[in-house]
Amino acid sequence: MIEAIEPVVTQVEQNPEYAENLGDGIALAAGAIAVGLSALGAGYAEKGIGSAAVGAMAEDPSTFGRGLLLTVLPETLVIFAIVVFVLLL
Amino acid sequence: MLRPKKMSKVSVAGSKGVLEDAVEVLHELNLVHVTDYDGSWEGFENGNPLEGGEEVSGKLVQVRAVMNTLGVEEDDYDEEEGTGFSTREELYDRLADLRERVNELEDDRNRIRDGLRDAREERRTLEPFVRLGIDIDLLKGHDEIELRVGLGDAEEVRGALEEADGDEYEVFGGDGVVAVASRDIDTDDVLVGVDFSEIDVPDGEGEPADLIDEVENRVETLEGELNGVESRIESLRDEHANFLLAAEEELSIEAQKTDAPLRFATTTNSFYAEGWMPTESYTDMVDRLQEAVGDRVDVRELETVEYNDEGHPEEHASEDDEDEENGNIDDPPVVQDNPGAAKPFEPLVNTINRPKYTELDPTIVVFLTFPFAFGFMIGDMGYGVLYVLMGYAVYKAVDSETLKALGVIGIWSGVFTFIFGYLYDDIFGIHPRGDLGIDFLIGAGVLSKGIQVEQTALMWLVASILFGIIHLNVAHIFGFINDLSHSVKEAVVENASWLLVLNGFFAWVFSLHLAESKPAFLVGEEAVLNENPMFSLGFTGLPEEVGIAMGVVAVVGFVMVVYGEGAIGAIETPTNAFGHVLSYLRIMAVLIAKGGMAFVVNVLVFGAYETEHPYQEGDSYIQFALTAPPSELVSEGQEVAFGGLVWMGLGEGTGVVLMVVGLLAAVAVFVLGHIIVLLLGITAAGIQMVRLEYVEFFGKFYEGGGDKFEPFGKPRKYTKEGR
Repeated sequence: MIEAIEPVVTQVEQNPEYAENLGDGIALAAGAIAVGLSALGAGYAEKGIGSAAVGAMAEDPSTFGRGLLLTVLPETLVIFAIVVFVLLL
Repeated sequence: MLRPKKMSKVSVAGSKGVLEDAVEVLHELNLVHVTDYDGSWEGFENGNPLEGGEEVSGKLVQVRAVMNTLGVEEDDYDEEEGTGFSTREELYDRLADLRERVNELEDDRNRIRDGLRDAREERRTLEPFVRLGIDIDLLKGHDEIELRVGLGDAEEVRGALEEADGDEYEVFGGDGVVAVASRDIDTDDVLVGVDFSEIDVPDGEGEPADLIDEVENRVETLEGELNGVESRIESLRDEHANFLLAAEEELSIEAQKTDAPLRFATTTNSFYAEGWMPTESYTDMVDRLQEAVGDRVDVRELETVEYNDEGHPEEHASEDDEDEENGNIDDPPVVQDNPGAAKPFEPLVNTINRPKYTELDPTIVVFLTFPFAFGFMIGDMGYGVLYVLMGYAVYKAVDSETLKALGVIGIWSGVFTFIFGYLYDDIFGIHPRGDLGIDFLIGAGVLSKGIQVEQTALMWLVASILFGIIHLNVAHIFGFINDLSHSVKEAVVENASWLLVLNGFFAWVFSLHLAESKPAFLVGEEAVLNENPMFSLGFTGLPEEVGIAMGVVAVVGFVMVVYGEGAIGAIETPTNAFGHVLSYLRIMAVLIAKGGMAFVVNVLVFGAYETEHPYQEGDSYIQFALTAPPSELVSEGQEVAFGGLVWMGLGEGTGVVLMVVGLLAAVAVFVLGHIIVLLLGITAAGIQMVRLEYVEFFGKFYEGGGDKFEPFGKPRKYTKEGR
């Protein structure tokens, strides 16, 4: 492991531009992971709400509006992740 | 506009002699929401149905039963055929005739179905005996020998009998069916512990296989007969659908009229009815009633539910005070009153709930924001035209009012998509000005989507936030006005306080206070509101002092929130004042995501190369290669981003096959890709904007729960007045 990252460390020490690029790259990767994970979280949250909402709708179609409303609530998670991503840019 | 139509409570009283005529007029007007008499006044009883009511109701039940048997549905109506009757007598005669035929058919059908069920049951009981392979008549009628047949395991049964007292027995079996013949053995006792469940031996004699063949034949014949009856029922339906639909309408209207007195208060010689109607139609109703029955009815406007100067409803009795004895006055039913253009957006609001009579109807705000934001997010002339066409197609194709409204919403959204597409200089993701150099159109391309230039994207981020702040301000102002009807204090601590927190906080965010620790695109020289690739507004941030002052305002607001709503208000503050505004960033996110998808499709199809922005100085630009392969268009130092499917086979020496494949792939990717973007546009932009309206906007003020206005009457679809 140490051997594997050794050339990177040497480069970072000797070449400031390389270090900066690497830092930017890692920040972007972090942002991408943040968006991905939050989308996963939102999706998981919507899974439960969505199935309950469809169930309620099958009983009483007039619950469509409220069902839709509750189902899309967790989407805000992804929006926050996008904010984080933009701030990382 | 923001209020529902003003409603009046009216009463109609008169002599019973004119009851029928009065009912006729009221039904035809279709304007009065009759309230049922609850029987609470001494000396007044609920009325009886008009003469002939029972007969009409009876016939109506018959028509509906026949429709049910034949399976008649609304779509079965054929405009070109007539209704098949012109007088009530004709209707009754034809109904009687049809009913007889339908009943006969139904009896037939029931008889055949019963027979089929019996035959299938018989087949099921015979089946194990086929497997056993012993004639039925051998299995019964023995005196000395006990014979039992069952489903089970022959070996196990044999083992159990061996262990039992007595040795006169025989076991026949195979394939899961066992017959046990025995003498002087208590088989009940022996078989209880083993795998054996007894079945009855059916009637009949001979080989089970022959018997089952006979049953099979019967089933087949009966199935044939059933098909015959069903096709006769079907032809009856085709023949009489028009008649039945029209008769149902005619009779149900008649039944509505004859049953009306049940909802009125009556004495021996007079009747009294009460109901709600739009105030504006009152004189019209009076005129029509006078015309029909003259002075023999007395029509009054008991009260008008008005709004006072502050905009909240006020109840006072006009002309007459007699209804005060009734105790409290209910809220009138709600008739939304929006201009024609905004009307289609009512179902969007009513999906959540119908507004109450006492609250503001937000439809007009939805009308002003939904298509605008949708257009902003998709922004493409090509998609805009397609959305308009799709909306128009839906509008033309469906009957339901709600779906028609959806079509109109589609048209509105398409129009705004087109307008923004023009401003973005986008047609199916291609830029007429940027890529083709069409540069004489005023205003085209003044905006861009920010797919390629970061500053532009950040500008839309800030714009989304500003849009959110305005939208939420409107929400809190609506809430303020609604709450004024309860008390001024409630309006201030529960709504004005949020206005202070929201505006105070964001004014501080956009101020120069602590500017160095805020993102550069928000405030300062690099702020996108100061200068961005599209336009410069010269806004670098509010002065530091204003920022601090507004921060204080936000804190004051926060204290008011906590005072008004307690600890829960403190917990809600970050979400309501900050989170909900950030939620509007989805507008910018969808804009860039949809623009990016269309961009990728076009890069794949046409190929692209990197160059300088044609009219925004200093920015780089990915140019689609629309006129020649990108490799031929690039000048020195520029890079080809992608070769493009179109150009793949068009170079020299590549051969016909590659050319055809390349062109086909290009067309497929272009068409499929844009269809996907178009449809995802509806779900992404549409649903996201609906969510902003429902959650962020409505959540601040909207209660809903108004009663539906259901006037006494029924519009005719198939029949005409006066039969």
